Amino acid sequence: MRERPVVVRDEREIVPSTSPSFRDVFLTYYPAVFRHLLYLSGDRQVAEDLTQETFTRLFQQADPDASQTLRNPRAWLLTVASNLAYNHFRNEKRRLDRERRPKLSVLPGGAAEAYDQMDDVLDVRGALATLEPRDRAVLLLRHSGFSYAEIADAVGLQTSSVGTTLARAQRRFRETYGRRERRK
Amino acid sequence: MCYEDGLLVAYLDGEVDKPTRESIAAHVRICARCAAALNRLETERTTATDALTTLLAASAQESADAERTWRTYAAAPDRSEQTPAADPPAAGLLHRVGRGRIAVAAAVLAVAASLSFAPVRGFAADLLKVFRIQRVQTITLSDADMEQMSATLSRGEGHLDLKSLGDVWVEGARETTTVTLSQAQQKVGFPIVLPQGLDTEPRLELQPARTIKFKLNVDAVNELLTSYGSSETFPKTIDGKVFSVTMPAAVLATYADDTSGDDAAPYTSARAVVVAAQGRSPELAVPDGVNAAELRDVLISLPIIPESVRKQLSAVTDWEHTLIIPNVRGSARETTIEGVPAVVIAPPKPVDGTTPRTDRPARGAGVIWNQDGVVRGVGGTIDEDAAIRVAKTMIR
Repeated sequence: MRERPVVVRDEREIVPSTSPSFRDVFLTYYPAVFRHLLYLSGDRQVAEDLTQETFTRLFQQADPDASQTLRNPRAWLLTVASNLAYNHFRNEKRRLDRERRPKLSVLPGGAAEAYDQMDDVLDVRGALATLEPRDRAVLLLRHSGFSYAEIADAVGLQTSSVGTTLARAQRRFRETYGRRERRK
Repeated sequence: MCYEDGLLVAYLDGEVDKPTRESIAAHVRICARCAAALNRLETERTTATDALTTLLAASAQESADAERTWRTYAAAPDRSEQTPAADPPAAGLLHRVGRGRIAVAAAVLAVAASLSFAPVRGFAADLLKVFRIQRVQTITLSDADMEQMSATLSRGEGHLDLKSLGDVWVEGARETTTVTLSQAQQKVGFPIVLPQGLDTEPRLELQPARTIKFKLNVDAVNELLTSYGSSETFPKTIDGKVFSVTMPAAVLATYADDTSGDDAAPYTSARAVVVAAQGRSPELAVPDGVNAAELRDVLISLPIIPESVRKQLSAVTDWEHTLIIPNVRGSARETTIEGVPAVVIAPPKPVDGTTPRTDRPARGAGVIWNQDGVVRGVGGTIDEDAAIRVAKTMIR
C-alpha cells in the first residue's frame, strides 16, 4: 500500500490524500457499484460493506503498473463486486444452514425497508433466497445486463456452462415466484 | 439433433455464434419438442425479467452518496471516527440518482400497480357496464393493518391449488415503442401534455392498449375465501363469466440527465430521471347478469381486510370511478394542485420510535391526477416538492 500523506481539508476533518485518480474512480463509480450490490444482496448494510471491500481491492491492485485495471475500472469493479456478492451468498447459505433459520431472514429487514416490502420486492427476494447461491448470482447478473462471459468471470464458471445454470435458475425461480404470485 | 435447455437459453439471450443460431432457428421450425421447450424457456425468462426489473428499480432509487462515503473511506483504517453528518446534496430537479432505463421501468411498474386496483374497485352494475376512473383517493393503512393482513394471508396459505381459481390472460401488444410527439398524438386521441421547464428533451414512448381478462372458477375461489375465514362468498352467477380491465394506450415521456453518456454499457453511471405518463382512464367491463354491488360487498367483507380499512373502503362514495391508492405511513396523501384533486405518493415516514435516516435524500416521489378523463402522473428520482412543481406545469 502506498503512503498516504495527510492534508488538511478544513478545520473539522483531516483526511489522508490518495492518488487523485483513485479518488476520482471512487467518486465516479461508487453509486454504480453500490446499487449493483444492493440489487444483488437486497440489504443496504451488506451492499455498503461489500462496496467498500470492492474499492479496497481496487486500491490494493492499483499500483502505477496496473493501468489495465484502471483503463476500464467500471467493468473491473462490477466483476469484483459480483464475485464478492456471490461469495456472500455462499457464506450466507452456510450460516443459515447452521443456524437453521428460515430463509426469509435474508430479506431486507428493518422498519426502514417497509417501503420496499410494500412492493413486490419482498416476494422476489423470497423466491431468490430459495435458489442455490450460484443459480441466484447467475440469474441476478444476467438480468442486470451482464454477458455470459462476464457472468462466467464473476462466479467462476465456464462460459459454456452459463446457459445451463441460467436455464435451471429461471425454471426454479418461476416455480417459486409464480406460486407466490398466484397466491396473492 | 435436439438442443438442451442451456443452449436454447443462450440462443434466446443472443449468446450463441451465428452457425449455432441458424441451426437452432432451423431446428425449432421442424421440431415440436424443441419449439415447446423454447417457448417454456422464454416464459421463464420473461417471469425473471419482470420480477428482477422490480429489484433493479428499487436499488436504482436508492441514494448513494459517494462524497460522504469517500470521506469515511479515505479516513480508514481509523473508521471509529464518524464524519459529521453532511447536508444532503443540493437537489436539482435532475440530480444524479437513478438509471434511465430502470427508472422508466419503475414508472411503468408503478402505473401498472396502481391500475391493478381496478378489479377490486369496479364491480358495480347489474348489466354489462363500463366504468372509467374519474378521481383518485387514498385509504390509510397502519402498520397494525398491514400485519393483520399478512397474518390472515399466511393462515389461509397452502389450502388450495391456486391454478384452479380461474384464468387470467392479456390481450394486446406488450412492446413499448419509441415515438415522436405527433405519432403519439395520433395514437392516443387526447391532447398530450408535457412538463415545462425541464432542461432536457424527453424520449417519448407509446405503451399500446392492453386488456386484462379474467374468469373465475367460483367454487374454487369460494373455497379459498372460506379458508381465509370469510363468511361471505361469491354468487354462483359469476362463474365462468369474463371480466376485463382495459388500459388504453399511454404515453411516457422520459427526461433523463444524460451528461454521463456511455449508453452501450449496462451500467453507465447514475442518472436522474423524471417520467411523465398519461393515458385515458382504464375501463372495467362487468359481464351481463352480474350483480356487481354484491361482489363488492363480498370483497369488502373479506376478513383479510382490517376493520379500519373496511370503514374507509365503505366510505368511498363514488367507488365505481375511483382509483384507490393505499397510504402507508404517510406515503400517499390527497391534495389539490391548481384546483385539480390529486394524490401525492412519496416514501412512507419512518415507524415511530425509529430514527429517520438523514444520510440519504427522500426516494422518488410522484403525483397522479385525473383531468378530463385522462389519468396523468409525474414521478422519478425527484422529491415531493419537485414532483408537484412539474405537475403544476402540466395541469395549467
